[in-house]
Parts: sequence; structure tokens; C-alpha cells
Amino acid sequence: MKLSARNALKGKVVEIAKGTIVAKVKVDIGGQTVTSMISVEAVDDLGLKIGDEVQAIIKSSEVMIAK
Amino acid sequence: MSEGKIEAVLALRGAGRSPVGHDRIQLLEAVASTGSITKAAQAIGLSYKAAWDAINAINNLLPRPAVTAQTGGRHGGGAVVTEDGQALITAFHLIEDRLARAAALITSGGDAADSLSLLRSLGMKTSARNAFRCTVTEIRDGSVNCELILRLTDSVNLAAVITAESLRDLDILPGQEVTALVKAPFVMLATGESVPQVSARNRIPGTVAHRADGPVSSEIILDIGDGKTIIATITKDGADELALSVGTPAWALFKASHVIIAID
Repeated sequence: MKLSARNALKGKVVEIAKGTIVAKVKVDIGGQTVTSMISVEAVDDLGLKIGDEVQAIIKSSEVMIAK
Repeated sequence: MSEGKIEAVLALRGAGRSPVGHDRIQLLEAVASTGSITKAAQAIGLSYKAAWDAINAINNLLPRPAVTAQTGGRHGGGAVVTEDGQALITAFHLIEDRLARAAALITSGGDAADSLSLLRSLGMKTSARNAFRCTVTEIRDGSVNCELILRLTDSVNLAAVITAESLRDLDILPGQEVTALVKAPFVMLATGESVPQVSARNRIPGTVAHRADGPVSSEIILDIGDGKTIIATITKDGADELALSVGTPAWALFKASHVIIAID
């Protein structure tokens, strides 16, 4: 699969906190953590578990720059 | 077959009372500018009696009077249009304007005159390039967020995550027709035979129907079947890496939380 999104950060799932509809999934990308909010359905669909090797996908248009 | 414009004629009427249309609102505006019913009647070309009937009809329309008598002052015995009267004038013109736009669609003919476009011209237009008319098939409640499953076509369902507050505000019910709005920059594209294993709830297969490149961005239109299309704005780098051109099969991916729900 090739994705148009420019940012695919490889890391490991270190935390999954499920709500009713959305879940917080933290990914350790080596030195830094990326926090994502995805649907609980997706967590179950992907069978996400702590320790899974994943990619955090971020569309270029979604990235803010702070100086 | 008639040529020429179709006019939409608006009239506001309280139960069993005399209707207030364009001409009577014009009289109200004349009262506001001349400060007198007599002068306003002359300016519009109405008889004094007709003007008084009109003012009464207008005043009967609203909970509080639109025109009140102005006593005293240098000229004495004039008339004043109240705040409520001014609000009525503004509202009337706003509705007239929207109706005129809808009427223009009818004369332009073709697909533009379908009821959906007519409804849209009465309401807001949005910049969202993707506006999908869907039916709500399922609602899943959460405390802060809730999820809507929407039927777009026989083969495509969309998922939208909105706040529970919005769900209550919009009073959305299963079976209801809504419009799902997705900005083009929120749509990612992927190539590959099988469904991409990403968390995005909306993963729709299609074929590239159009690609337009700018210096750094590319606009891709994907044909997703049943006459529907999805528009994605991605980086030109991404479009090149995926080798997207007309005819290339691709998946449109977008998060459920990137879907705005609009109701009529």
C-alpha cells in the first residue's frame, strides 16, 4: 500500500485508552511520543495492542509549525 | 414554452389576515424614510386608505407594532417604524433574495432544478468540495462524542464522529437525510489492491477521473461509482509517488472526525 500522506512515523504503541466512541493511542517514535485520537472501532478493526509496531500517519496539511 | 424570468413572490400572513407582500414592505420602508404614512402613501402611489390598511396588516403580523404614531415634535402626528418593523424589512428582503435565487435555478433548467439544489440555494453554501447526501442508518452515543453511520450508496457507507452536543442540537434521527461535508485537504489517497489497513473509518475505492497539479499541490477527483465523486487535495509529491493519473485505481481515505454533518 502506498499512501499520499507525506508523514509516516514508525513507532511502537505504548498506550491505548478507550472511550465509548474514540480512543487515545500513543506511539513512541523514538525519543518522542505521538498521540493520536482514532475511533474505538478502528482500534478493534486493526487489533491494536500495546507493543505493536505501527506508523503514525499525518497529512502535510495537518501539520502546524510553532516557533 | 415561456421565456424570461420566473419571479418568486413572497407574502407573509398571520392566521386569516391580510397578506403582507413586497408592496406593503415597500410602504413600510417609505414610512421609515418620510416619517409619515401620508407622505409614504404618496411616494408609493397608494391611496391613504390603502396605506392605512397595509400598516394595520403589518402591525397585525407581529407580536409588537412595526409602526407607531409619533406625537409632538415640530411636525407632530408623524409615524415611526419600530425596531421590530426594521427587523421585518430586513428579514423580508433576505427571504425574497433567497427565493429569487431558487427561482433562477428553475429557469436555468436541467439538473440544477432538482429539489436538493433548490434547498441549498435557500440555505448556506459551503466551501467544502465534498458534499454527500446520505441517510443516517445508525447512531452510536458516547458521552462527549457520538458516531453516525451514513448510507451514501448501496455499496458505500460513511462514518462521521460529531460531538454528542451537536447530535442533540441538530436532533438527528435514524432514517434522516443529511449532508456529509468533507474538505478536500482532509482526504488522503492510497494505492494497492486490498483495503488499506489504516485507522481512517472511511476508505472508499475508486478510479482517478481527473488530476490537476499546482506548484506544490495536486487536486485529484476520484470516481467512486453511482455517479459520485470525491475530491482530494494532496501534495504533488504524493500524487507523483502514487503515480496517479486518469484511470488509476485508488482509495480515498478520511477520518470520521473530519466529516461535518449538515441538515436542512
